[in-house]
Amino acid sequence: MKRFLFLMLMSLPVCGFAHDLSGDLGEAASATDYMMIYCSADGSITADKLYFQISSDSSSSASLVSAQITKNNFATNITDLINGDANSSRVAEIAGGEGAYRVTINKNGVGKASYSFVYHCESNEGEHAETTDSSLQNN
Amino acid sequence: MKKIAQKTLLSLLALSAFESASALDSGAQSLTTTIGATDYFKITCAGDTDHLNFKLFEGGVTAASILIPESPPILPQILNATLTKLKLTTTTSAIAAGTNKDVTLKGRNGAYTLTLDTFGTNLTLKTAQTYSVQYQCLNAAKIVTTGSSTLVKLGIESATKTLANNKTAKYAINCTEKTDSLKVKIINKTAAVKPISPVIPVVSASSGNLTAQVIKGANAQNTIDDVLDVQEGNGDYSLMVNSPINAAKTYSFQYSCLNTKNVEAKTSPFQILQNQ
Repeated sequence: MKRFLFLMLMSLPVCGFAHDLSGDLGEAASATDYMMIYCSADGSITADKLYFQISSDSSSSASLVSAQITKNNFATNITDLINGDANSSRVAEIAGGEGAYRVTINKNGVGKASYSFVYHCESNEGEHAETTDSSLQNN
Repeated sequence: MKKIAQKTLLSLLALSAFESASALDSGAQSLTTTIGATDYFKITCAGDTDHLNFKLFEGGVTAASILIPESPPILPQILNATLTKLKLTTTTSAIAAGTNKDVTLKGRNGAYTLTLDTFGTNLTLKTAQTYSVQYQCLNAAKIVTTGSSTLVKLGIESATKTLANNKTAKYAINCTEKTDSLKVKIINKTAAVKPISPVIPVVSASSGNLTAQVIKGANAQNTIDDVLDVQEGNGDYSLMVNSPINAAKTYSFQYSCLNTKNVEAKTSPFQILQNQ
């Protein structure tokens, strides 16, 4: 069962505001949480890219938690290489412009895992652009 | 430079873990150590597709390590030799490629006819067979007498000749000087055909160093080594392969668009969207 906690929610037109979410992945290795993140302009601030970083919160988990972000024909993978520590994965910045970014979150083995991630749409200058999301699958 | 190979190893891969009676398409690919490296594909299913069946394997394309049914032996190319003299005749059959046999006929002095044919040979092998002939006219004590032929001198191996499928070659050999019998050695010099070793992917299960995701619509599934069945009907399925630890890995995968009865629907060759 997944839990989505909105710590700071969408669309605050303040430069530097991020969006945090957390969730759980079920026992099965196939478990995948799936969401869309939508980037759009916020006034004069263009949405040039998506900023995304994930963290595995389960120190007892033997599996690594990864996220894949795709937009158009581009795809990348990020992984938190150490579970439960203070460090997150590398930051992925996907320069896909406005529109829908597809995000899948999964792990490389069986066993439950908890994770959290930070994301926001931004301009090339790093200004926060309009960012919304919707969850498509939660397992 | 990444090696990309796209194959349809239908009959070979169908022998692996899947039980469906379908044909399977497959791909072989490698992933570099580029940070975040992800290979990204599109697979299109049509017809009466109910679901996409997918499995990921670690390892490249190399010699097979999985069991495959033993193929029926390849029939050889053969020659048959017949010696005749008037109403006397003797035959030696099935002189296989790379072997030799003798044929002997007790006909005393006079003209013998040596006939070579390919009856019974494997007609799927189109290359003409090659052979040579050596003969001896012998007396009753098996001592060499004298003889002659337009083919070659007595006791000497002839030059290499060729004989195509369904063709016949005839040679005249004349024995003299109290000959009791003619002995002819036929040497089939055709190269023996060896069975072709199939080249198929190594089918080791992923250890978790590689993961793959199949996505269509609102359905996304992840796999390490389990078979995925993503039930989203016709249309484009997205496939990603990546490594959580950025390992340089070769891998292969097999997939098939199946209908509700697990029978192959229309499966397109996969399309590479991104190759890292």
